Amino acid sequence: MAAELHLPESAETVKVRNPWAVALLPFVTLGIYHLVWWYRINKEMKAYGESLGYDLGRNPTNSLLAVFPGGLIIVPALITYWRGTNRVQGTEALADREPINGWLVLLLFFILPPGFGAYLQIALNHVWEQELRGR
Amino acid sequence: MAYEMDIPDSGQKAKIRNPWLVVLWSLVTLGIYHLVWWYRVNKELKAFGESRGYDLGRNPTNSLLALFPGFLIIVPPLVSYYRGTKRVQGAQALVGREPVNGWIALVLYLFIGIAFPAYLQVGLNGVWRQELSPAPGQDLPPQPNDDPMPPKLSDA
Repeated sequence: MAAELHLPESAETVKVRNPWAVALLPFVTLGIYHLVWWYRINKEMKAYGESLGYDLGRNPTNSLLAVFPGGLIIVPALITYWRGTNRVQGTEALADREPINGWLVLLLFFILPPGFGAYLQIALNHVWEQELRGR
Repeated sequence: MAYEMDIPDSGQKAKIRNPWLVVLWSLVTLGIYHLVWWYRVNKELKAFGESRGYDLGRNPTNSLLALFPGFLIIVPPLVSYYRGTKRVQGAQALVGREPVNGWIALVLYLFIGIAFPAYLQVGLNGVWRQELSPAPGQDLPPQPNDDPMPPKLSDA
């Protein structure tokens, strides 16, 4: 069950998700969940950034389109994963947390892709949980 | 673009290299550049260690020979890469930097071999940038954009 958190000065909510679900649901849904998840976390980061006055992405729809159909020509998907990872690191920096290791992200992406999504989600969960505790 | 930096008290130089180019050149030259790169970084580490009074390798030629022709019997390159990674960590320890992660180096080496040298080069670049001055006539290397802080909305 995902826990929701309302962002201050924003109508948006962010979700603490089970990283196992992020890793495994794409298999069950033939990849659809991964697209939904990528759109949603980019939307959450955008809203979180805006609530603090920082740019953490402007167009989550573009992030989604970069994965599909952009993934068909490979490069757009790589770019959005790169930028999305940078945004997760930016989100952590805003919350004064140690950023995830970009090299580890690279490794997971290439040799254990389900772990890539889970790793990013764990990092975001920490930020959202910290925000939740801070209220 | 590589930036040459002076290693004090040694007459030698270390290069800040673009990690993407370290990968690219190795591919374009079918591995020849990798050999040159391995020799050079080991030479730089040796000189840097000596300038600080520490042993960061003694014979970069042996490091090169361990790769070629050493790879023909498999084990020498593994030993050389292991020791080379330890030397990079040693150089980072000497200047108080977070060392490259040996496990990440190992898994990169095993699964995404071309990224392994890039990882070491990024580690070395941090050391050279922090400790060395540009060689005469060389530009100051740009600071890497590794600050994860996003831009403010008003600046973006």
